[in-house]
Amino acid sequence: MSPRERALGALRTALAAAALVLGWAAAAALARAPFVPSPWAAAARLAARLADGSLAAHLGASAARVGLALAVTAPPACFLGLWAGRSRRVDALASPFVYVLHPIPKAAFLPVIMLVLGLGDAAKVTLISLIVFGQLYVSARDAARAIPEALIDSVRSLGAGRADLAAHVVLPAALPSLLSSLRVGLGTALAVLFLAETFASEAGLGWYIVDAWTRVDYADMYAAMAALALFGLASYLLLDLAERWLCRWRDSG
Amino acid sequence: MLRLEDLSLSYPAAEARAGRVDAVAASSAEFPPGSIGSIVGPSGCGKTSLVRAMAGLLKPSSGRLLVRGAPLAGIRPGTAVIFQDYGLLPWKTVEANVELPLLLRGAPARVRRARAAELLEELGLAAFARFHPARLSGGMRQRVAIARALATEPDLLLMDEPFSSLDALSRESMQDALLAARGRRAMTVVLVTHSIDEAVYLSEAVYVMTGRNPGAITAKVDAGPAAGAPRERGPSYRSEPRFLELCGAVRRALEEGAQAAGAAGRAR
Repeated sequence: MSPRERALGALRTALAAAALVLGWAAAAALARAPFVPSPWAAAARLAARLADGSLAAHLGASAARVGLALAVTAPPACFLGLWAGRSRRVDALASPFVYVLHPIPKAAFLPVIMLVLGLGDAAKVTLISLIVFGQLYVSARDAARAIPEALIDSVRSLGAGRADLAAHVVLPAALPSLLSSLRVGLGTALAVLFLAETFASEAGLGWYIVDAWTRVDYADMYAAMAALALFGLASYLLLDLAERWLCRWRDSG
Repeated sequence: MLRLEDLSLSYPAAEARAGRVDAVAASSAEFPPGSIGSIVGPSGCGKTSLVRAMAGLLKPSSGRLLVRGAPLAGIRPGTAVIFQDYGLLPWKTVEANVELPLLLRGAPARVRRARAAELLEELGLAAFARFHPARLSGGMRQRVAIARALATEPDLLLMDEPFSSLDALSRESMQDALLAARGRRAMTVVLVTHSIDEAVYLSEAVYVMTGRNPGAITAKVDAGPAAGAPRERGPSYRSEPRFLELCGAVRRALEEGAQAAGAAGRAR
Protein backbone atom coordinates (compact mmCIF):
# COMPACT_ATOMS: atom_id res chain seq x y z
CA MET A 1 0.00 0.00 0.00
CA SER A 2 1.25 3.44 -0.88
CA PRO A 3 1.11 6.24 1.72
CA ARG A 4 -1.64 7.79 -0.39
CA GLU A 5 -3.79 4.64 -0.23
CA ARG A 6 -3.11 4.40 3.49
CA ALA A 7 -4.20 8.01 4.04
CA LEU A 8 -7.35 7.34 2.01
CA GLY A 9 -8.08 4.26 4.11
CA ALA A 10 -7.72 6.26 7.34
CA LEU A 11 -9.96 8.97 5.90
CA ARG A 12 -12.64 6.40 5.05
CA THR A 13 -12.51 4.98 8.59
CA ALA A 14 -12.88 8.49 10.00
CA LEU A 15 -15.85 9.17 7.70
CA ALA A 16 -17.52 5.91 8.77
CA ALA A 17 -17.10 6.90 12.42
CA ALA A 18 -18.50 10.36 11.71
CA ALA A 19 -21.51 8.84 9.90
CA LEU A 20 -22.20 6.58 12.89
CA VAL A 21 -22.04 9.49 15.33
CA LEU A 22 -24.35 11.57 13.12
CA GLY A 23 -26.80 8.67 12.91
CA TRP A 24 -26.73 8.43 16.69
CA ALA A 25 -27.32 12.19 17.02
CA ALA A 26 -30.28 11.97 14.61
CA ALA A 27 -31.75 9.03 16.55
CA ALA A 28 -31.36 10.94 19.81
CA ALA A 29 -33.05 14.02 18.33
CA LEU A 30 -35.93 11.93 16.97
CA ALA A 31 -36.42 9.68 20.00
CA ARG A 32 -36.40 12.52 22.57
CA ALA A 33 -36.15 9.77 25.21
CA PRO A 34 -33.88 9.83 28.25
CA PHE A 35 -32.44 6.42 27.30
CA VAL A 36 -31.02 7.84 24.05
CA PRO A 37 -28.81 10.73 25.11
CA SER A 38 -27.07 12.68 22.37
CA PRO A 39 -23.53 11.64 21.46
CA TRP A 40 -22.30 15.01 22.77
CA ALA A 41 -23.81 14.34 26.19
CA ALA A 42 -22.26 10.89 26.26
CA ALA A 43 -18.91 12.30 25.08
CA ALA A 44 -18.97 14.99 27.75
CA ARG A 45 -19.69 12.38 30.42
CA LEU A 46 -16.98 10.08 29.06
CA ALA A 47 -14.48 12.95 29.18
CA ALA A 48 -15.52 13.79 32.76
CA ARG A 49 -15.29 10.14 33.91
CA LEU A 50 -11.92 9.72 32.25
CA ALA A 51 -10.71 12.98 33.79
CA ASP A 52 -11.78 12.09 37.34
CA GLY A 53 -10.28 8.65 36.90
CA SER A 54 -13.42 6.71 37.82
CA LEU A 55 -13.61 4.89 34.46
CA ALA A 56 -9.90 4.13 34.32
CA ALA A 57 -10.07 1.32 36.88
CA HIS A 58 -12.94 -0.35 35.01
CA LEU A 59 -11.28 0.08 31.63
CA GLY A 60 -8.10 -1.37 33.13
CA ALA A 61 -9.95 -4.34 34.58
CA SER A 62 -11.64 -5.12 31.25
CA ALA A 63 -8.46 -4.64 29.22
CA ALA A 64 -6.54 -6.89 31.63
CA ARG A 65 -9.12 -9.67 31.29
CA VAL A 66 -9.18 -9.59 27.49
CA GLY A 67 -5.41 -9.14 27.25
CA LEU A 68 -4.72 -11.99 29.65
CA ALA A 69 -7.21 -14.29 27.92
CA LEU A 70 -5.67 -13.64 24.49
CA ALA A 71 -2.10 -13.86 25.80
CA VAL A 72 -2.81 -17.20 27.48
CA THR A 73 -4.85 -18.67 24.62
CA ALA A 74 -3.23 -17.49 21.41
CA PRO A 75 0.20 -19.17 21.74
CA PRO A 76 -1.06 -22.71 22.50
CA ALA A 77 -3.99 -22.43 20.05
CA CYS A 78 -1.68 -21.29 17.25
CA PHE A 79 0.99 -23.84 18.11
CA LEU A 80 -1.44 -26.74 18.20
CA GLY A 81 -3.27 -25.50 15.09
CA LEU A 82 -0.10 -25.10 13.04
CA TRP A 83 1.11 -28.50 14.18
CA ALA A 84 -2.20 -30.13 13.25
CA GLY A 85 -2.02 -28.43 9.85
CA ARG A 86 1.34 -30.07 9.17
CA SER A 87 0.78 -33.46 10.79
CA ARG A 88 -2.05 -35.79 9.90
CA ARG A 89 -1.66 -37.59 13.21
CA VAL A 90 -1.97 -34.47 15.38
CA ASP A 91 -4.89 -33.33 13.24
CA ALA A 92 -6.64 -36.68 13.70
CA LEU A 93 -6.15 -36.45 17.47
CA ALA A 94 -6.95 -32.80 18.16
CA SER A 95 -9.43 -31.69 15.51
CA PRO A 96 -12.35 -33.96 16.50
CA PHE A 97 -12.33 -32.44 20.00
CA VAL A 98 -12.25 -28.91 18.63
CA TYR A 99 -15.02 -29.73 16.15
CA VAL A 100 -17.30 -31.19 18.79
CA LEU A 101 -16.69 -28.32 21.22
CA HIS A 102 -16.59 -25.47 18.71
CA PRO A 103 -20.31 -25.16 17.83
CA ILE A 104 -21.45 -25.44 21.48
CA PRO A 105 -22.29 -21.95 22.76
CA LYS A 106 -19.65 -21.83 25.46
CA ALA A 107 -21.25 -18.75 27.00
CA ALA A 108 -23.81 -21.24 28.32
CA PHE A 109 -21.01 -22.82 30.36
CA LEU A 110 -20.62 -19.61 32.38
CA PRO A 111 -22.53 -20.95 35.40
CA VAL A 112 -20.47 -24.15 35.46
CA ILE A 113 -17.21 -22.27 35.03
CA MET A 114 -18.16 -19.93 37.86
CA LEU A 115 -19.12 -22.84 40.09
CA VAL A 116 -15.77 -24.48 39.48
CA LEU A 117 -13.46 -21.48 39.36
CA GLY A 118 -15.33 -19.10 41.62
CA LEU A 119 -16.76 -15.72 40.80
CA GLY A 120 -13.45 -13.95 40.21
CA ASP A 121 -11.36 -13.14 37.18
CA ALA A 122 -10.27 -16.74 36.62
CA ALA A 123 -13.77 -17.69 35.48
CA LYS A 124 -14.10 -14.67 33.17
CA VAL A 125 -10.70 -15.18 31.57
CA THR A 126 -11.38 -18.91 31.16
CA LEU A 127 -14.67 -18.29 29.38
CA ILE A 128 -13.06 -15.89 26.91
CA SER A 129 -10.16 -18.30 26.37
CA LEU A 130 -12.46 -21.24 25.66
CA ILE A 131 -14.29 -19.29 22.99
CA VAL A 132 -11.25 -17.79 21.30
CA PHE A 133 -9.23 -21.02 21.34
CA GLY A 134 -11.35 -22.84 18.75
CA GLN A 135 -11.33 -19.93 16.31
CA LEU A 136 -7.58 -19.50 16.47
CA TYR A 137 -6.94 -23.24 16.28
CA VAL A 138 -9.03 -23.74 13.14
CA SER A 139 -7.54 -20.81 11.23
CA ALA A 140 -3.97 -21.72 12.24
CA ARG A 141 -4.53 -25.28 11.10
CA ASP A 142 -6.03 -24.27 7.77
CA ALA A 143 -3.25 -21.75 7.14
CA ALA A 144 -0.57 -24.36 7.82
CA ARG A 145 -2.36 -26.89 5.64
CA ALA A 146 -2.50 -24.44 2.73
CA ILE A 147 1.29 -24.13 2.51
CA PRO A 148 2.36 -25.66 -0.83
CA GLU A 149 4.15 -28.97 -0.36
CA ALA A 150 6.77 -27.84 -2.90
CA LEU A 151 7.73 -24.92 -0.66
CA ILE A 152 8.25 -27.28 2.27
CA ASP A 153 10.22 -29.68 0.03
CA SER A 154 12.46 -26.94 -1.27
CA VAL A 155 13.40 -25.77 2.22
CA ARG A 156 13.81 -29.35 3.47
CA SER A 157 16.17 -30.00 0.58
CA LEU A 158 18.33 -27.14 1.89
CA GLY A 159 18.82 -29.16 5.06
CA ALA A 160 16.07 -27.70 7.25
CA GLY A 161 14.87 -29.71 10.24
CA ARG A 162 11.46 -29.48 11.92
CA ALA A 163 12.33 -26.43 14.00
CA ASP A 164 13.83 -24.66 10.96
CA LEU A 165 10.71 -25.37 8.91
CA ALA A 166 8.51 -24.00 11.69
CA ALA A 167 10.56 -20.81 12.03
CA HIS A 168 11.32 -20.08 8.37
CA VAL A 169 8.28 -21.47 6.58
CA VAL A 170 5.22 -22.45 8.63
CA LEU A 171 5.04 -19.50 11.02
CA PRO A 172 5.72 -16.73 8.49
CA ALA A 173 3.37 -18.34 5.94
CA ALA A 174 0.55 -18.54 8.48
CA LEU A 175 1.17 -15.20 10.19
CA PRO A 176 -1.25 -13.11 8.09
CA SER A 177 -4.07 -15.61 8.78
CA LEU A 178 -3.16 -15.79 12.45
CA LEU A 179 -3.31 -12.02 12.85
CA SER A 180 -6.63 -11.80 10.98
CA SER A 181 -8.18 -14.45 13.15
CA LEU A 182 -6.76 -12.74 16.23
CA ARG A 183 -8.67 -9.62 15.16
CA VAL A 184 -11.87 -11.61 14.73
CA GLY A 185 -11.16 -13.31 18.05
CA LEU A 186 -10.73 -9.94 19.71
CA GLY A 187 -14.25 -8.93 18.65
CA THR A 188 -15.63 -12.18 20.06
CA ALA A 189 -13.61 -11.74 23.23
CA LEU A 190 -15.09 -8.29 23.85
CA ALA A 191 -18.62 -9.59 23.34
CA VAL A 192 -18.01 -12.41 25.80
CA LEU A 193 -16.28 -10.03 28.18
CA PHE A 194 -19.42 -7.94 28.48
CA LEU A 195 -21.49 -11.00 29.29
CA ALA A 196 -18.98 -12.29 31.83
CA GLU A 197 -18.67 -8.92 33.53
CA THR A 198 -22.40 -8.56 34.05
CA PHE A 199 -22.28 -11.47 36.53
CA ALA A 200 -20.88 -11.19 40.02
CA SER A 201 -18.50 -8.36 39.19
CA GLU A 202 -17.43 -5.18 40.87
CA ALA A 203 -15.15 -3.88 38.16
CA GLY A 204 -14.99 -3.76 34.40
CA LEU A 205 -16.82 -1.80 31.73
CA GLY A 206 -19.49 -4.50 31.42
CA TRP A 207 -20.28 -4.17 35.11
CA TYR A 208 -20.17 -0.36 34.84
CA ILE A 209 -22.69 -0.36 31.96
CA VAL A 210 -25.16 -2.55 33.86
CA ASP A 211 -24.60 -0.57 37.05
CA ALA A 212 -25.30 2.75 35.26
CA TRP A 213 -28.38 1.14 33.76
CA THR A 214 -29.76 0.19 37.20
CA ARG A 215 -28.86 3.68 38.47
CA VAL A 216 -30.90 5.05 35.53
CA ASP A 217 -27.90 7.24 34.66
CA TYR A 218 -28.10 6.89 30.87
CA ALA A 219 -25.32 9.35 30.07
CA ASP A 220 -23.03 7.28 32.28
CA MET A 221 -24.19 4.08 30.59
CA TYR A 222 -23.45 5.45 27.14
CA ALA A 223 -20.11 6.83 28.28
CA ALA A 224 -19.06 3.32 29.36
CA MET A 225 -20.39 1.81 26.13
CA ALA A 226 -18.38 4.33 24.14
CA ALA A 227 -15.30 3.51 26.24
CA LEU A 228 -15.77 -0.19 25.43
CA ALA A 229 -16.18 0.60 21.72
CA LEU A 230 -13.12 2.83 21.67
CA PHE A 231 -11.10 0.19 23.48
CA GLY A 232 -12.16 -2.34 20.84
CA LEU A 233 -11.28 0.02 18.02
CA ALA A 234 -7.87 0.84 19.51
CA SER A 235 -6.99 -2.86 19.94
CA TYR A 236 -8.15 -3.53 16.41
CA LEU A 237 -5.96 -0.77 15.01
CA LEU A 238 -3.02 -2.03 17.06
CA LEU A 239 -3.37 -5.51 15.55
CA ASP A 240 -3.72 -3.95 12.12
CA LEU A 241 -0.47 -2.05 12.59
CA ALA A 242 1.24 -5.19 13.86
CA GLU A 243 0.12 -7.09 10.78
CA ARG A 244 1.30 -4.36 8.46
CA TRP A 245 4.70 -4.32 10.12
CA LEU A 246 5.16 -8.08 10.45
CA CYS A 247 3.92 -8.87 6.94
CA ARG A 248 5.74 -6.09 5.09
CA TRP A 249 6.75 -8.57 2.39
CA ARG A 250 3.19 -8.65 1.08
CA ASP A 251 3.09 -4.89 0.55
CA SER A 252 6.18 -4.84 -1.59
CA GLY A 253 4.48 -6.63 -4.51
CA MET B 1 27.86 -39.24 -9.99
CA LEU B 2 24.22 -40.29 -9.93
CA ARG B 3 22.87 -43.68 -10.97
CA LEU B 4 19.33 -45.01 -11.10
CA GLU B 5 19.09 -48.80 -11.14
CA ASP B 6 15.64 -50.23 -11.84
CA LEU B 7 14.22 -47.51 -9.65
CA SER B 8 10.51 -47.64 -8.78
CA LEU B 9 8.68 -44.99 -6.79
CA SER B 10 5.30 -44.67 -5.18
CA TYR B 11 3.71 -42.13 -2.88
CA PRO B 12 0.75 -42.26 -0.50
CA ALA B 13 -2.55 -41.43 -2.18
CA ALA B 14 -4.39 -38.30 -1.08
CA GLU B 15 -7.04 -40.57 0.39
CA ALA B 16 -5.43 -42.78 2.99
CA ARG B 17 -7.67 -45.74 2.06
CA ALA B 18 -6.53 -45.71 -1.57
CA GLY B 19 -3.09 -46.94 -0.51
CA ARG B 20 -0.15 -45.90 -2.65
CA VAL B 21 0.07 -44.51 -6.16
CA ASP B 22 2.77 -45.94 -8.44
CA ALA B 23 4.60 -42.94 -9.89
CA VAL B 24 7.68 -44.42 -11.55
CA ALA B 25 8.39 -48.00 -12.64
CA ALA B 26 11.77 -49.71 -13.08
CA SER B 27 13.83 -46.86 -14.51
CA SER B 28 17.58 -46.74 -15.02
CA ALA B 29 19.86 -43.86 -15.91
CA GLU B 30 23.39 -42.71 -15.37
CA PHE B 31 24.68 -39.17 -14.93
CA PRO B 32 28.50 -39.02 -15.04
CA PRO B 33 30.38 -36.49 -12.87
CA GLY B 34 30.47 -32.99 -14.35
CA SER B 35 27.87 -33.71 -17.00
CA ILE B 36 24.49 -32.17 -17.63
CA GLY B 37 21.80 -34.75 -18.20
CA SER B 38 18.08 -34.38 -18.58
CA ILE B 39 14.95 -36.37 -18.24
CA VAL B 40 12.21 -35.36 -20.68
CA GLY B 41 8.61 -36.41 -20.47
CA PRO B 42 5.05 -35.12 -20.64
CA SER B 43 3.24 -33.79 -17.56
CA GLY B 44 2.14 -36.52 -15.20
CA CYS B 45 4.82 -39.03 -16.17
CA GLY B 46 6.37 -39.02 -12.70
CA LYS B 47 9.16 -36.51 -13.30
CA THR B 48 8.59 -34.63 -10.06
CA SER B 49 8.57 -37.87 -8.06
CA LEU B 50 11.88 -38.71 -9.68
CA VAL B 51 13.37 -35.35 -8.63
CA ARG B 52 12.04 -35.79 -5.10
CA ALA B 53 13.66 -39.23 -4.95
CA MET B 54 16.99 -37.97 -6.30
CA ALA B 55 16.83 -35.19 -3.70
CA GLY B 56 16.33 -37.75 -0.93
CA LEU B 57 12.79 -36.55 -0.18
CA LEU B 58 11.12 -39.77 -1.38
CA LYS B 59 12.38 -43.30 -0.67
CA PRO B 60 12.53 -45.80 -3.57
CA SER B 61 9.94 -48.56 -3.31
CA SER B 62 12.32 -50.83 -5.19
CA GLY B 63 15.56 -50.59 -7.13
CA ARG B 64 18.49 -48.41 -6.15
CA LEU B 65 19.57 -44.81 -6.29
CA LEU B 66 23.32 -44.37 -6.05
CA VAL B 67 25.17 -41.11 -5.49
CA ARG B 68 28.94 -41.40 -5.87
CA GLY B 69 28.49 -45.16 -5.74
CA ALA B 70 26.67 -45.23 -2.40
CA PRO B 71 22.91 -45.72 -1.92
CA LEU B 72 21.20 -42.41 -1.19
CA ALA B 73 20.04 -42.43 2.43
CA GLY B 74 18.10 -39.16 2.53
CA ILE B 75 18.69 -35.46 2.06
CA ARG B 76 22.33 -34.98 1.17
CA PRO B 77 24.30 -31.79 1.91
CA GLY B 78 26.04 -31.79 -1.48
CA THR B 79 22.81 -31.87 -3.46
CA ALA B 80 20.91 -28.67 -4.30
CA VAL B 81 17.42 -28.62 -5.80
CA ILE B 82 15.61 -25.96 -7.82
CA PHE B 83 11.87 -26.31 -8.18
CA GLN B 84 9.61 -24.71 -10.78
CA ASP B 85 7.75 -22.38 -8.44
CA TYR B 86 7.66 -21.91 -4.70
CA GLY B 87 11.41 -22.23 -4.47
CA LEU B 88 11.87 -18.89 -2.76
CA LEU B 89 10.37 -17.78 0.52
CA PRO B 90 8.22 -14.72 -0.27
CA TRP B 91 8.73 -13.26 3.23
CA LYS B 92 12.49 -13.18 2.91
CA THR B 93 14.48 -10.70 0.84
CA VAL B 94 16.55 -11.91 -2.11
CA GLU B 95 19.63 -11.72 0.09
CA ALA B 96 18.02 -13.63 2.97
CA ASN B 97 16.78 -16.32 0.57
CA VAL B 98 20.29 -16.88 -0.78
CA GLU B 99 21.71 -16.93 2.75
CA LEU B 100 19.12 -19.42 4.02
CA PRO B 101 20.97 -22.68 3.22
CA LEU B 102 24.07 -21.26 4.89
CA LEU B 103 22.05 -20.11 7.90
CA LEU B 104 20.58 -23.62 8.19
CA ARG B 105 24.13 -24.98 8.28
CA GLY B 106 25.12 -22.60 11.03
CA ALA B 107 27.48 -20.39 8.97
CA PRO B 108 28.37 -17.12 10.74
CA ALA B 109 26.61 -13.96 9.51
CA ARG B 110 29.77 -12.48 7.98
CA VAL B 111 30.40 -15.57 5.86
CA ARG B 112 26.76 -15.74 4.80
CA ARG B 113 26.64 -12.13 3.73
CA ALA B 114 29.90 -12.31 1.79
CA ARG B 115 28.87 -15.50 0.00
CA ALA B 116 25.42 -14.16 -0.89
CA ALA B 117 26.87 -10.89 -2.19
CA GLU B 118 29.32 -12.83 -4.37
CA LEU B 119 26.58 -15.02 -5.90
CA LEU B 120 24.16 -12.14 -6.44
CA GLU B 121 26.95 -10.30 -8.22
CA GLU B 122 27.69 -13.36 -10.40
CA LEU B 123 24.04 -13.72 -11.42
CA GLY B 124 23.50 -10.02 -12.02
CA LEU B 125 21.23 -9.51 -9.02
CA ALA B 126 23.38 -7.27 -6.83
CA ALA B 127 21.00 -4.32 -7.19
CA PHE B 128 18.05 -6.39 -5.98
CA ALA B 129 19.51 -7.83 -2.78
CA ARG B 130 17.01 -6.05 -0.52
CA PHE B 131 13.94 -6.73 -2.68
CA HIS B 132 11.31 -9.29 -1.79
CA PRO B 133 10.73 -11.93 -4.51
CA ALA B 134 7.26 -10.54 -5.32
CA ARG B 135 8.91 -7.47 -6.86
CA LEU B 136 11.03 -9.50 -9.28
CA SER B 137 10.16 -10.93 -12.69
CA GLY B 138 9.86 -14.70 -13.07
CA GLY B 139 13.27 -14.92 -14.71
CA MET B 140 14.96 -12.95 -11.96
CA ARG B 141 13.28 -15.08 -9.32
CA GLN B 142 14.73 -18.21 -10.90
CA ARG B 143 18.14 -16.50 -10.97
CA VAL B 144 17.76 -16.03 -7.21
CA ALA B 145 16.82 -19.70 -6.93
CA ILE B 146 20.01 -20.62 -8.80
CA ALA B 147 22.07 -18.34 -6.56
CA ARG B 148 20.53 -19.98 -3.50
CA ALA B 149 21.21 -23.46 -4.88
CA LEU B 150 24.85 -22.56 -5.53
CA ALA B 151 25.36 -21.04 -2.07
CA THR B 152 26.42 -24.35 -0.54
CA GLU B 153 28.73 -25.21 -3.46
CA PRO B 154 26.86 -28.40 -4.38
CA ASP B 155 28.40 -31.15 -6.50
CA LEU B 156 24.96 -32.20 -7.73
CA LEU B 157 22.28 -29.77 -8.88
CA LEU B 158 18.77 -31.10 -9.52
CA MET B 159 16.26 -28.97 -11.38
CA ASP B 160 12.55 -29.66 -11.73
CA GLU B 161 11.11 -27.67 -14.67
CA PRO B 162 13.14 -24.68 -13.55
CA PHE B 163 12.27 -22.44 -16.49
CA SER B 164 8.83 -23.72 -17.47
CA SER B 165 6.84 -20.78 -16.20
CA LEU B 166 9.02 -18.24 -18.05
CA ASP B 167 8.38 -16.69 -21.45
CA ALA B 168 10.49 -18.01 -24.34
CA LEU B 169 13.09 -15.23 -24.29
CA SER B 170 13.74 -15.27 -20.55
CA ARG B 171 13.84 -19.06 -20.72
CA GLU B 172 16.64 -18.97 -23.27
CA SER B 173 18.61 -16.37 -21.35
CA MET B 174 18.20 -18.43 -18.16
CA GLN B 175 19.46 -21.53 -19.97
CA ASP B 176 22.60 -19.59 -20.94
CA ALA B 177 22.92 -18.26 -17.39
CA LEU B 178 22.80 -21.85 -16.14
CA LEU B 179 25.46 -22.97 -18.63
CA ALA B 180 27.66 -20.03 -17.61
CA ALA B 181 27.25 -20.73 -13.89
CA ARG B 182 28.04 -24.39 -14.43
CA GLY B 183 31.05 -23.58 -16.59
CA ARG B 184 32.71 -22.01 -13.54
CA ARG B 185 32.13 -25.03 -11.30
CA ALA B 186 32.70 -28.77 -11.09
CA MET B 187 29.08 -29.74 -10.75
CA THR B 188 26.80 -32.43 -12.14
CA VAL B 189 23.42 -31.13 -13.29
CA VAL B 190 20.30 -33.23 -13.69
CA LEU B 191 17.43 -31.39 -15.29
CA VAL B 192 13.86 -32.58 -15.50
CA THR B 193 11.76 -30.85 -18.14
CA HIS B 194 8.94 -31.29 -20.62
CA SER B 195 10.73 -29.11 -23.17
CA ILE B 196 12.61 -31.11 -25.80
CA ASP B 197 14.76 -28.24 -27.06
CA GLU B 198 15.68 -27.19 -23.52
CA ALA B 199 16.88 -30.74 -22.81
CA VAL B 200 18.86 -30.98 -26.06
CA TYR B 201 20.33 -27.48 -25.74
CA LEU B 202 21.59 -28.01 -22.21
CA SER B 203 22.51 -31.65 -21.88
CA GLU B 204 24.92 -34.31 -23.00
CA ALA B 205 22.41 -37.12 -22.46
CA VAL B 206 18.62 -36.98 -22.69
CA TYR B 207 16.55 -39.68 -21.02
CA VAL B 208 13.03 -40.05 -22.31
CA MET B 209 10.25 -40.80 -19.88
CA THR B 210 6.79 -41.99 -20.97
CA GLY B 211 3.64 -43.57 -19.58
CA ARG B 212 1.67 -42.49 -16.58
CA ASN B 213 1.10 -43.94 -13.11
CA PRO B 214 3.62 -45.36 -13.41
CA GLY B 215 5.82 -43.64 -15.97
CA ALA B 216 9.22 -45.03 -16.84
CA ILE B 217 12.45 -44.05 -18.54
CA THR B 218 12.18 -45.83 -21.90
CA ALA B 219 15.04 -44.48 -23.99
CA LYS B 220 18.29 -42.56 -23.92
CA VAL B 221 19.36 -40.12 -26.62
CA ASP B 222 23.02 -39.13 -26.66
CA ALA B 223 23.23 -35.36 -27.14
CA GLY B 224 26.90 -34.86 -26.24
CA PRO B 225 30.07 -34.45 -28.31
CA ALA B 226 29.94 -38.14 -29.31
CA ALA B 227 26.65 -37.41 -31.07
CA GLY B 228 28.17 -34.45 -32.91
CA ALA B 229 26.98 -31.74 -30.49
CA PRO B 230 29.42 -28.99 -29.49
CA ARG B 231 31.11 -29.13 -26.10
CA GLU B 232 30.73 -25.39 -25.53
CA ARG B 233 27.25 -24.16 -26.38
CA GLY B 234 25.82 -20.76 -27.13
CA PRO B 235 22.73 -19.27 -28.75
CA SER B 236 24.00 -20.15 -32.26
CA TYR B 237 23.69 -23.86 -31.42
CA ARG B 238 19.90 -23.47 -31.40
CA SER B 239 19.84 -22.98 -35.18
CA GLU B 240 22.39 -25.65 -36.11
CA PRO B 241 21.13 -28.70 -38.07
CA ARG B 242 22.64 -31.05 -35.46
CA PHE B 243 20.53 -29.43 -32.74
CA LEU B 244 17.35 -29.84 -34.78
CA GLU B 245 18.23 -33.47 -35.62
CA LEU B 246 18.77 -34.29 -31.97
CA CYS B 247 15.44 -32.64 -31.06
CA GLY B 248 13.84 -34.84 -33.73
CA ALA B 249 15.45 -37.94 -32.25
CA VAL B 250 14.13 -37.12 -28.78
CA ARG B 251 10.68 -36.42 -30.18
CA ARG B 252 10.64 -39.81 -31.98
CA ALA B 253 11.74 -41.58 -28.79
CA LEU B 254 8.90 -39.86 -26.89
CA GLU B 255 6.36 -40.88 -29.53
CA GLU B 256 7.57 -44.49 -29.63
CA GLY B 257 7.48 -44.66 -25.85
CA ALA B 258 3.95 -43.25 -25.76
CA GLN B 259 2.79 -45.81 -28.36
CA ALA B 260 4.37 -48.68 -26.44
CA ALA B 261 2.79 -47.45 -23.21
CA GLY B 262 -0.58 -47.15 -24.96
CA ALA B 263 -0.26 -50.71 -26.34
CA ALA B 264 0.70 -52.03 -22.93
CA GLY B 265 -2.32 -50.23 -21.46
CA ARG B 266 -4.65 -51.88 -24.02
CA ALA B 267 -3.09 -55.32 -23.44
CA ARG B 268 -3.90 -54.97 -19.75
